[in-house]
Amino acid sequence: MSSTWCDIPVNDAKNIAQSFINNPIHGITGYSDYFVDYDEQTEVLLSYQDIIDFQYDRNYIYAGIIYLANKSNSIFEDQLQLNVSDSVNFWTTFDASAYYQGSSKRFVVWNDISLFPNTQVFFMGYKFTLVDNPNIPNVRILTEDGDFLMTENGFNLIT
Amino acid sequence: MSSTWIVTPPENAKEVVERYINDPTHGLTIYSGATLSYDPDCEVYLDYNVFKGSFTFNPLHLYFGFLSCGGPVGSEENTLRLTIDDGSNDFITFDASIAPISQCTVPLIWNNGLSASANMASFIGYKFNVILP
Repeated sequence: MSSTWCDIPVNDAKNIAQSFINNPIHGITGYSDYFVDYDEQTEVLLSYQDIIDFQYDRNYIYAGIIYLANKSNSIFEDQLQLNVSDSVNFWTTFDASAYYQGSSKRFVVWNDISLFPNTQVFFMGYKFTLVDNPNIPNVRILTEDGDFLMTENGFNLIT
Repeated sequence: MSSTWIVTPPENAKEVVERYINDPTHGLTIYSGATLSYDPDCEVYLDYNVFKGSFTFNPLHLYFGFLSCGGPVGSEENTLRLTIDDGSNDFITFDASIAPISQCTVPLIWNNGLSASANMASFIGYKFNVILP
């Protein structure tokens, strides 16, 4: 599978999502030690109805391009609000009410919708899996200075 | 074949469209288990006249790409409505009546137009062949 489904290559999008959820400024503490992962079915296209039917799942996060196809003077109509939510804390990443909209296309990281749109919205990007506290296997490293065990806590001399 | 007709390479688009039509939430039961293929000439550009009325629906064809609409500002006239239609069921992927469009470019999958556009519309993308199970 090519990594260029949309404007942003998949690994770049993953790295941005990873940095975003781990950034303490965003206050999404439930994801502080989570890792972002993906498989060969990571590319997604969500049309308007898919977004209206969207179901929140804290185990997933989306990164990609949100397209809005609005009436040019729809400032009072478009109420789409997207967040990154760990189910306790959230950070708003897109809020159509914050500015005059018209049509637009922009990069966004999200996994929850708090205000559903009533105008045409499309999302083209990646659906990533959030992995909790991954197990780092203990790796034994043999050197002339001794044997070290690499763990979550760093390197420990064992012999 | 060029892989840069649009940003998305055709192989990526094919796989996503296959998953989309096989997603049971979209209700396209005739397409259940269907796969897609494409020809060297799968890159298509459909101009205003196609959406104006010359388009012919074929359930064994599916389109993925970017639709551009360019109606008058504040227009209430655009009636373009696009669906994925398996011959028995359909799933709406674009409906201009939800919000009158001034100008937009959006990604979508479709193969049928329930109502011709009254405004300027064009499409650039890929045409896939449906292989029913």
